[in-house]
Amino acid sequence: MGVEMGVGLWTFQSTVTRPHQLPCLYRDFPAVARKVEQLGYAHLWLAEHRLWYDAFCPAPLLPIASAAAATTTLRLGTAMVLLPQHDPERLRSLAAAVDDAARGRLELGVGLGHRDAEFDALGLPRTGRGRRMDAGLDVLDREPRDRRPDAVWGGGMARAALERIGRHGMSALLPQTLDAEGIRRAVATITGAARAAGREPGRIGMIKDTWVDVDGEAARSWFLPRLRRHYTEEAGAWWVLDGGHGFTSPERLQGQVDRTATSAVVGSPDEVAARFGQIADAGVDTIVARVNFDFVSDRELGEQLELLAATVLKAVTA
Amino acid sequence: MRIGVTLDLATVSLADVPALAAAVEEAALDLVWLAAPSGRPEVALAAAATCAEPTRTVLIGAGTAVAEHHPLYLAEERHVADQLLGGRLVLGLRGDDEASLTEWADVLLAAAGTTPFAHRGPRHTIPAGLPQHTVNPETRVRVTPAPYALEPTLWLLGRAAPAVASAYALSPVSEEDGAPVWRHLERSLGPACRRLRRPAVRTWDPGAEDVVELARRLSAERDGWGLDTTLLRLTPPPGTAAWHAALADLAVVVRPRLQQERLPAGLEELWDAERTHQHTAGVEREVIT
Repeated sequence: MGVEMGVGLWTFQSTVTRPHQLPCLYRDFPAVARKVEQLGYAHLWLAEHRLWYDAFCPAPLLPIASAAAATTTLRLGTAMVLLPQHDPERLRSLAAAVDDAARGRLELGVGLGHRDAEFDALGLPRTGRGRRMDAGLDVLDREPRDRRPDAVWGGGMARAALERIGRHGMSALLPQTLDAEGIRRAVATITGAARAAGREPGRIGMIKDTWVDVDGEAARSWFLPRLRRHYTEEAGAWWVLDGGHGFTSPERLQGQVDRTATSAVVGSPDEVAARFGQIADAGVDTIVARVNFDFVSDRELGEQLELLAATVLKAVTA
Repeated sequence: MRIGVTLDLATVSLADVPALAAAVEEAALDLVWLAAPSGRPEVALAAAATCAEPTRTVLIGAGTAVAEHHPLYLAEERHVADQLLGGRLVLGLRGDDEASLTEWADVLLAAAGTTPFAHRGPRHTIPAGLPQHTVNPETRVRVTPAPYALEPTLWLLGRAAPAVASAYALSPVSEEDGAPVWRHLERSLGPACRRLRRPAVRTWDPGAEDVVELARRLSAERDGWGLDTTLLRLTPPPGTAAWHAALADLAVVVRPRLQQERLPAGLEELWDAERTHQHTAGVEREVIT
């Protein structure tokens, strides 16, 4: 298959499901990044949200700077920095500084953001986020560029989002709910937009909620109920469904949770490697296995990283 | 007195900061001050974050500045950097306009608390309360994560620093004579001044000023207006042999001479004699090798 494989998502949360000492999460992160590098993964990804009880990290570029000093080859990515919530000139400068610290290993993923409260705290209307995204990308894409265009990653599955990715020659991090046919259509849209703009299309990536166990059934029975609980809280409190937050639309919330659980890749090493192979065959060249969740303990995470590296990573990158 | 060393991020690559900060810690000095390049204040906290693993004890100062963008970004990044550094972050905020520096200091202090807050300032309203935000709107916000330190350090620089320092009982960093500023602060704050550190940025050119003379210069400021934390701008380029030698001089010559009001007669002579001997032995070793 020959795809690249990384792991995610580091968010530095202390949730009801698993209260954490935040100083330990931050202090230990450079060592975790070093372990991920030693295990052979290509990259490690962090996410951004702000102003939430669980202390979700609002500034992932700073832990990336700390990990940069502890690693030499591992690429360090954001999935995603919420570009419309940022001053793009400031973000461009900060990303350039962190890329300098990482000697060119920063992968800057940018997304839209969706919480009203986050936009409101910063005095920005959420309704203008698409225009702010376009304006922000123009700043990041401005000459002289600080990095290769394909080291900037965009998300989304709407046609406008995919065309935006192609137009800027960016790489894509596609939603994990896309099936093989959806991936092929997205790749075609991105490639067409890139060619029309006279740009080379970037890489095609996908983040997949992933859990592997030598006993595939044990992986499913342990992971899936916890994943459903995780997304019930996140989507219930944050996602906008029918004009309100998720808990106000229980049936739609249930549907969203079902979709995310169904699209997770869970099972034995052979099963997970086969699913990743199907994704790669559809056109994805960069797979990010999301194995770090609030419900996963440090010990479980360490063991999962090792098992995944010893089995699936070897198979998909062979 | 605490002794720190400044690194100018306009000339030092962030990739080199971790090793330089580790060298300052290894020299047993107290603080590394990372001064942001002009027009790029956000670089200072990114540089501070790179020091999280290579250092364990040295204080890390990030010299940033008021800017055109929203102050919440700085508040959030300050807290994350302080978590990464286990409470060792000292934030420097530069501002020449009193209204702007006041607003930013106000937001940073409110954000560092662990309760939701609202801010109504001349430039920013937090939260903004925009009418189109209808899904779970909030009237106060809580900046997370909290900083590691209970009372994270905030120092002020620039022309507006003395006035804002007086209003909020914060430390101004003296870049010139500290005496008039601290006379004013003592008058306005009274005993609350006891809580404040008295930092200053000073330059040292080892080629032009003997290290013992530097110690005397700083000692005079200590006894004059109370200088207690010196951030030294060293003229040798960071990382060079001359820069490392300057660190060693600060550690073994300047620092011990500044810790007490005076030293017993004969002690400085002993130190000087040992230093001369060590220097001579070092030169001989270099010649032999």
